[in-house]
Amino acid sequence: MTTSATPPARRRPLRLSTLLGVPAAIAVAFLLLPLAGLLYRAPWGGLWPLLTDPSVREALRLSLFSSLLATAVSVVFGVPLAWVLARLRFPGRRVLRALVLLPLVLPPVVGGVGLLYALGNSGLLGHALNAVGVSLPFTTAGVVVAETFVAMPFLVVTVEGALAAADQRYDEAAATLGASGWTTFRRITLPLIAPSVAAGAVLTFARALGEFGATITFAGNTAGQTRTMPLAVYIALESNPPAAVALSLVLLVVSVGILLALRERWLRGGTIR
Amino acid sequence: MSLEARVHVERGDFVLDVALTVGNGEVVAVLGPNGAGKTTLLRTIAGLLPLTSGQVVLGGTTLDDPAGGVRCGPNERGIGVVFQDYRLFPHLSAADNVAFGPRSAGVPRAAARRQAQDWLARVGLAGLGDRKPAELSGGQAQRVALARALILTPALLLLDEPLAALDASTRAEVRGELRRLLDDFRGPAVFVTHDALDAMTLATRVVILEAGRVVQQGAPHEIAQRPATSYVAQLVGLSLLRGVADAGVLLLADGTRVTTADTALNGAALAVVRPSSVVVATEAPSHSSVRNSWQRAVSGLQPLGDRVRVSFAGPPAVVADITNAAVAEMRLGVGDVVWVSVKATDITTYPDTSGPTIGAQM
Repeated sequence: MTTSATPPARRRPLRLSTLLGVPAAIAVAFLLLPLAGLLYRAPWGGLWPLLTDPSVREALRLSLFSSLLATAVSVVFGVPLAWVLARLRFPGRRVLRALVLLPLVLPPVVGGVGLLYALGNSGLLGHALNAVGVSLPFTTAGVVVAETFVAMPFLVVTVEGALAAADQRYDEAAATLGASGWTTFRRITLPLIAPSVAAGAVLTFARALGEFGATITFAGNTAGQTRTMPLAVYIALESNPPAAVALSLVLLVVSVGILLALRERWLRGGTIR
Repeated sequence: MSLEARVHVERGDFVLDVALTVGNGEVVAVLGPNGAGKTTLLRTIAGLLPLTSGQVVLGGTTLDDPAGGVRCGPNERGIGVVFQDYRLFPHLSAADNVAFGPRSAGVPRAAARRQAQDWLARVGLAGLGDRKPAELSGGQAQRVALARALILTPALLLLDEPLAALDASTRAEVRGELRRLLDDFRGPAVFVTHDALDAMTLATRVVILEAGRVVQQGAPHEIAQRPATSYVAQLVGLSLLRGVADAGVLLLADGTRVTTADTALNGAALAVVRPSSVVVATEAPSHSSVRNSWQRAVSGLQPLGDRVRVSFAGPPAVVADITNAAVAEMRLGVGDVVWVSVKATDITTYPDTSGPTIGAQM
């Protein structure tokens, strides 16, 4: 191969940055357009009366309450599950992991139907629950169940990743200092993955807050009981569009807040730790 | 309290088979090349790795005995471990790191903290208790790790390459500090290292581990004077020759005959030659008292500060340390054929007790 001959002058090829920059710009525009739409249609002048309307406040209160509760339940049960998946070696671990994470990709409506036939009054565990006086469908408790079902995998995935990456050398050091497994978990493992637990909880909360499909299927749409913010937005869009926009703005503000809370992990670039 | 361990571990192709007894107040250095199994030995005794077979008995208590179904976890052994990378808990202050052991043993917070402060003072870190591990220098972190292990008055102290992570300037200082702490420690102590100086200065006994087996053990000066393998000889700066002695002649495996001063020694024998006693000449020595001369090509010239280490093609495996001036004067270069001479009285011979099967190869 010789390089002495200069190649004939050619049409200058498009630079790669141009080639990929144009579709990238289209993608950015597409992602930001709905936000612009929301801000454009926002009834800025009449925002306060809309937001202080009792039905809106009720939806907001219900959403925050049920999402926080779903997040708490997810942490209490999800962290141990993440530990089991990350640290124990047992046959079928990978299958279990896939099944547990299924709600991440499952259409929420399908989750809701599943919940109905599992925990509903005529469902798998319905009779048992009824026997102890518990009826979940179409109650606020049902909202929490639906949100937990959909959102907990976010916590499990985040914490499991952190546990898998966490240095087990510290666990060894703790053991040589006489610490029991539980002491080591509580005083070494958990503090070291605390940032990931927090991030997982924030993600879980965000997912629970936005939950729609499973909630409306399993818990229905009763004002004051199961009508969370997303459901209220959907209803308002038919009857009172400015209220729908106002509610959406609230959810947007919460989302931006969540993004800011996770900025250390996401906005610095790179992958989810 | 004393340690009696028969450690047999099989991991894939690698087999570690070591019998180790360490008495109270003894400091044993396990010295060996990378991959010899030093860390595996330590981790097995600490309970961090399972024994394939054998026994670990500490102060009369059996901690590990696969045949007898006994296996104490690392948290039930009362063995202090100082890891090579220290493993200070990054989210805890130096004082809380040191207090971790007592706290785990149920000592109340205030008392554990007081003990920790005492220990930090003992290792010369008074006033640094509030620092996080990331704010400590390598030498300080090592002392915190030592205090964290010693605060529990362990029945046995294990140290994995205690000085390897330090730079050369702090190393000498920390070595002195470590020596003092080891002198104060009453139980048996075992540390692994690949540094001959650490082994010679800190240990009361040195155990040489190569390819999973003990090839030699003894007092530091014995090891330094009479290395049993070329690995050890190289560590202490000597060239090792292995052969059969017969009336003042050492016959090497390659057929080379080396005249030695010791005419009484017979049978399998080792000989060491100090590189600085090897003479390099451009002409054959004549009318000389030198008993051993070989004509060899120079195969390497390695600068060592004020000297140059000359190696030669072909047996015997001796190297010569000569001055830079001598290299310049002889205009010595790789490939030059020279005369290599060693006086018989500069060769130290001793019986080869290591047996014919032990090689220095990994």
